Amino acid sequence: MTKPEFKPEQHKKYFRRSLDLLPGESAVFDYSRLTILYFALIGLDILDGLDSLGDSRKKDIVEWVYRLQLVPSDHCPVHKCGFMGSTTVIHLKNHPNRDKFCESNVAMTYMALCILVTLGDDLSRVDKSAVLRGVASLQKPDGSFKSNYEHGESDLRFVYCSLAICNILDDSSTINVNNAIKFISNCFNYDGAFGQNPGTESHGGSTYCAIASLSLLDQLNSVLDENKSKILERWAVNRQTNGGFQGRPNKDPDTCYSFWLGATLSIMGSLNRINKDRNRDFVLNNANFITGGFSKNMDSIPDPMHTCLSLCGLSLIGEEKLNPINPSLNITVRAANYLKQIQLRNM
Amino acid sequence: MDDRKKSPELKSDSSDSADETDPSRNNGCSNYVMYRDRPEWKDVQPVAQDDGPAQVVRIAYSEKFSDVFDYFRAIIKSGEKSERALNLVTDAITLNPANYTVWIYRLEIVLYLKIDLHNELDYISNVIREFTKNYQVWQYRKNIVEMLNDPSGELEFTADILDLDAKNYHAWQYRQWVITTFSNLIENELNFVDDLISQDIRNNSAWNQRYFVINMSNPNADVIDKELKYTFDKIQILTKNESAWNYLRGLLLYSENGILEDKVSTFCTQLYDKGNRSIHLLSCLIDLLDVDVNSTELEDVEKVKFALKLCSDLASVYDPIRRSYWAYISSNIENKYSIKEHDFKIVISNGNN
Repeated sequence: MTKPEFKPEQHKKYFRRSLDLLPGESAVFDYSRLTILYFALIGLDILDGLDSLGDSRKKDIVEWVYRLQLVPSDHCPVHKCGFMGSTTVIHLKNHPNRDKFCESNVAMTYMALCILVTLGDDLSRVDKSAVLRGVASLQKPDGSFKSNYEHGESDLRFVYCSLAICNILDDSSTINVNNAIKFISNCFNYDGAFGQNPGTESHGGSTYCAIASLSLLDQLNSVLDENKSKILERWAVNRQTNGGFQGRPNKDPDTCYSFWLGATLSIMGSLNRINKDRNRDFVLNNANFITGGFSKNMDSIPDPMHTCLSLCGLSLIGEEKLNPINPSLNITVRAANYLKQIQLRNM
Repeated sequence: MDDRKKSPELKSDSSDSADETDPSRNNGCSNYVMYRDRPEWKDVQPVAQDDGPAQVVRIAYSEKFSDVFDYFRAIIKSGEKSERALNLVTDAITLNPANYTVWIYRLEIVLYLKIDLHNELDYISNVIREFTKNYQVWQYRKNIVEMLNDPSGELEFTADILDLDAKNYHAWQYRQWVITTFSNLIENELNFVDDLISQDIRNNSAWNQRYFVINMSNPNADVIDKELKYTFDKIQILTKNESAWNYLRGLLLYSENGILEDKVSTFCTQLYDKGNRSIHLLSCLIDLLDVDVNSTELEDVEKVKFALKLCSDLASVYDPIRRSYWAYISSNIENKYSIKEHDFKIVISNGNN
C-alpha cells in the first residue's frame, strides 16, 4: 500500500468554504455556529492559512464574535455574561425580562476567546470581570461547571472550558480551584481514565478534558500519582487500534481521537509510545480528496470538527507543513505565544 | 380538556422528501403549511435572524427552518406562552434539538399552561427515541423527572434506548443519575448488566456499569471474590477482551495483603501455560511482577527476566503496534531491578515510530 499523501491546500479550501456558507444540513449547528468558526480558524492556523483570509475578513470575523458577547446591563445579570454561540436569539440582547432566554455558554466563551487570540485580537474589548464572574456562577458545589446558567448540564467538558477561560484571562480567583480538582479526581475510573462524571465510563474526550484541565492548573501530579499515570498511559496507548484511535475500549477508531488521546499523551510526555506512522496513515486515509476536509471514518463525510481535530492530531505527531499546537489550550503555539504577550502587557 | 390532546405531535413534517408536483410554497411536504401562511398566526410579525453587518459561517437554512425560527424569535420576544406557541416550539425542536433556548422556553410554556408533566415525559421519550445522542434532550428529561419526583419508568426507558445502542453514553450517564438520585433502583441493576454482557461480552459500557454497581454497594470480600470468579469465566470465553481485563484490574483495587493478586496470578499463569498469548494476559503478568527490588535470589532474577521476555514478545509478535510502549516498559523494568544483561532487548530504530 502506498503511503497516503497530505495535501494541505485542499483543507484550506474546505475551511474557507465553511467560513462562508454551510449547507442546509448544518442547521443543527444554528445555535453553535461559533464552534464551526473555531474549528475552521484553528484549522486554518495549523495549516498556516490565516493570511489567505485577508485583513478585512479577519476584522469582520472579530466583529461578528464580539457581537455575541453579553455584558452586564439592566437586562443582563452578570451570571449570564460571556459569549453566546450564535445570533439565533441575539435580538433578545438588552431586551427587558428576556435574560433567561439570552445567556452565554461556557464552551462558546472558551471558543470565542480562542478565535479572538488566533486572529490577533488583544481581548481588550472582552469584559473580563463579567466573563470570570459568569464562569464562577456556573460552578456547582461538587466542583463541576454547568454549560449555561438555566438548566445547563454539567460534566468535565465544561470544567475544561471554564478552566481554559480562567487560564486565557489569567485569573482563577473567582472560581473554587480546589473543588474543581476534586471533581476531576472523582471522575478517575478503575481502568485508569476519566469519565464525564464520577462513575461514568472512561472516554477519550473526557480524559482529554481532565488532563488538559490539570495541566492548565499545573496540577497534573497532584491527581495522578506514579501508579495512576502508569495505568492512564496504558489505557491511552491501548486506544490505538487498526492505526487510528478509538474513544473507548472495543469501539471503532475515529479521527478525532487522534487529537483527544494524542494531546492527552502529549501533555503527559508519552506521545512517543504510540505508533505515529500508523496513526498518520489512518487519519490521512480519511481525508476527502474531492471536497477537502477529514471525516471521522470511511463511512462518513467530512465536517469541520473532524477536519480540525485530524489536523491537530497530525500536527502533534510532527506532520510537515503543519504549525505546532499547544495541546492544553488547543490553539497553535504561535497563538499561545501571542496570548502570553497580551497577558504580560496587562500585568 | 384531555391533556393528551394538547400534547403536540412530535413531527408535523413526516419526511424531507420533496414533492415536486406540489405547487404550494410549503418546502416540499404536501400537508405542511408555513407559519407565515397560517391564518391563526397572522397577528404575529416574524423576526428575522440578525447577523449584523458581517456574514460569517452562514448556513443555507431551508425555507421551513427560517420560517419556524423567525416565528420562534417573535414569540420569545413577546413572551407569548400559549398552546400555539408550544406547537411552534415543538416544530423548532424537531428542526434543531441542539438549541438550548427552545428547551428553556418550552419548559416555561409547559409550566405556565400547567401541562400534565406525564404527557411531557411521553413527549420527551419520543424526542429522545429520535435524537438518542443529543445532550439537551436528556437534560430536559432530567428536569421533568426531577419535577415529577417519579423515576418509576426511567430504568425501563433507558433500557429501551440501550436496546438501540448498548453503548449510548448519554443513556448510561442518565441511568446512573437516576440510580444515584433515587434510592431503591439499584436492586436489579446487576442482572440488567449481566444480560447486556451476555449479549455482547465486549460491551465496555456494561462492564463499567458493573463496576459502578459493585462499587456503590461497599462490597465485602465475598462479593469481590464472586466478581473475581465471574470475570475469570468471562475472560476464558474471550481472552482478548480488554473490557474484562480492565474490570479484573479494577477488582484488584479492593485487594488487601495481596490475596487477590495471588488468585489473579494463578489464573494468569494457568492461561499462559495453556498457550494463551492475549496481549492483556501478558500485560497483566508483567504488572503482577512483584519481587523485592534488592533481591539477588535466582528465582527472583528469573521472574524479572520473564517479564522482560514478555515485553519483548509483545513488542515483536503479539502487540507490534505498541512496540515503542513495550520498549519503554521493558527499560523501566531494567532500571528498577538493575538488570542490564539479558536476551530480551527491544530495539527501536528511529524510523519505527
